[in-house]
Amino acid sequence: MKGLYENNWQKAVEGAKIEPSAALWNNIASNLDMEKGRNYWVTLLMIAATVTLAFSFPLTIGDSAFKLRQHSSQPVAQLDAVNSSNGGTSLAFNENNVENKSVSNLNSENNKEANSTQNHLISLTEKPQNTLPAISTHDDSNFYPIKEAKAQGVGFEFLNWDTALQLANLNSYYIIPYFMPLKKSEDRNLLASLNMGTGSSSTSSGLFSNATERVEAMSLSAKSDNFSNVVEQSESKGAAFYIGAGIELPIGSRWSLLTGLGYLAQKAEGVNNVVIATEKGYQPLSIYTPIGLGSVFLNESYRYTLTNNYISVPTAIKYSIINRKVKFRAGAGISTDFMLNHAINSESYQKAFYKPSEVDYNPIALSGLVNFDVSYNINKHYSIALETGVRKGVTPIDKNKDFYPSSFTGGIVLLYKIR
Amino acid sequence: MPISNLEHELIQKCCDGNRTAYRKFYEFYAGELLAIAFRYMKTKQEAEDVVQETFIKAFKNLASFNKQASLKTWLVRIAINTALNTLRKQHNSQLWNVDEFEDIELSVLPLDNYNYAELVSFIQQLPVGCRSVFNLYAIEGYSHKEIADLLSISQGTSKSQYHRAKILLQKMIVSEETRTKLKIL
Repeated sequence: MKGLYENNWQKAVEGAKIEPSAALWNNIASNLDMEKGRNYWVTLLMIAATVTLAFSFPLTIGDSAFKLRQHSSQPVAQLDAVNSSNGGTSLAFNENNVENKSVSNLNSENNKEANSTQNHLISLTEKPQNTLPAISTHDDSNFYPIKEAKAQGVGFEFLNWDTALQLANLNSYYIIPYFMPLKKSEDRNLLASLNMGTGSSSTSSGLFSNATERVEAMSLSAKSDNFSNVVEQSESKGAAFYIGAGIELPIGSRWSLLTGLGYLAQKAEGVNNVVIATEKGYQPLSIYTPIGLGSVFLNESYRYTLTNNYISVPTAIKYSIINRKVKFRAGAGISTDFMLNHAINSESYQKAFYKPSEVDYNPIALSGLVNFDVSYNINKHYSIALETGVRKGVTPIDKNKDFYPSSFTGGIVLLYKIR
Repeated sequence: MPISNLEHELIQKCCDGNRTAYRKFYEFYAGELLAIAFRYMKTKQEAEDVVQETFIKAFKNLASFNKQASLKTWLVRIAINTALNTLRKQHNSQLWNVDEFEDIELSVLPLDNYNYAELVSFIQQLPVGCRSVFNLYAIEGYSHKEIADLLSISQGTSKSQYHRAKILLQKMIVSEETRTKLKIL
């Protein structure tokens, strides 16, 4: 039995009503539709639209190809590669050539010494004969040897500075793995997700850093022999791909914690006129490729595709800004990426794979993630989402240089409510 | 109180999947449920979220509704439970924090001078714990034992929260009356 005080309050609020917004019934009606499974056509349209968008995304990024050297059709020479005693990469004469000299201890901090390099180089006057090792059925007559070079510590003296700066600011490709809850965390839904994503370019990258010295070395050799336009290196953007699975657990009314496991491939397209001869035969050579593995040859230009393959483990926290049938969320977190390999592939030559250590990449890299996403509940159990965001490296991906790549991203996610 | 024939018919049509019946059901109860949810939550948006969840739960479980009970009572109970769950998850550990407060002599103040929105604004200014207890005890008519069971607290906590709510409300109302008198003068 309540007293006067309580009766007073009950009487004051009795029969009170508040006019709901129009959106309230719309949201309830949408849920009823889901329950009854009447919106399959919406589901199909959403899937079709998002898949189309996801696959078309990299085509809209643009192409920022650059040239390291002007292309020249002039045939030159063979360049043999060996490992120097101090662990650095060194290029030396092929034994079949006339002379073998090296240029030692050149670096960008020692201009005088670098400028004197040419004094140690031997001019190449004409195409040598019988210089190619018989390692494959490839038509050796197409290859031409360079006489001599030394890569260790070579600076930018023989490179155009603009080109050098470009080398440090090339593009890479990243995807932010993405996870999304179906509905309010009130239900404490544990969610499973399948992620697919593509996209975007980086403002600075370490992908190319490891190869800088090699390109310089080749350029050095060419320059020294008055073949300044010999080595062609050209890189442009390529599509990236991510596929993965994850789980998400709500930790508050609008907060949730997510983690997952995925495969990430970062691709770039290129044109080159240098190949490497290994035990396995002639293989395409990019500016990433370690050249301590065999002889290097100049040849006709060919196209190649580079791929960095990773196993990616993202961990992030998400906050729902709009928490309705269509949701809008912001998230932040960190991704641990384990590099599987670096691959270069060309139709003209055999595909080559390299371990992270062979190309001086760190086997594990960390990146910070910030992203935004919009999701739509397809039905009681499934939801689909689009996301975009930024990814910034917090540890360098190269062992020798402080490169912290950043990128924009886009992707889609299909989610299933476990409970 | 058993449900009326009209309610019985409405429930039956909803169970048959009649979309018009769903809409009628909603229109019949939405305003009242929103007013109740608004007393527990801080904003109208949050209250609408609660009402949305209430209707979804109700429609899902309508077939199992015990027609011997009042439909409105059943809906209000769902709405209150949904609101309390939301608050519990929003505030968690802070729900039952009791800051020191000055005890004053309570009196029964007339509420006739205030409309519903003004009264709710007083209630919404209460800390979340005593706001819940006040709504449940003073307005919904729950006992302290029922509140203790519902909120997993002791009866003592329920009583102290209620006492605190009354003091805070009285201060707000007196302050408001003083302000009104000053305006008139």
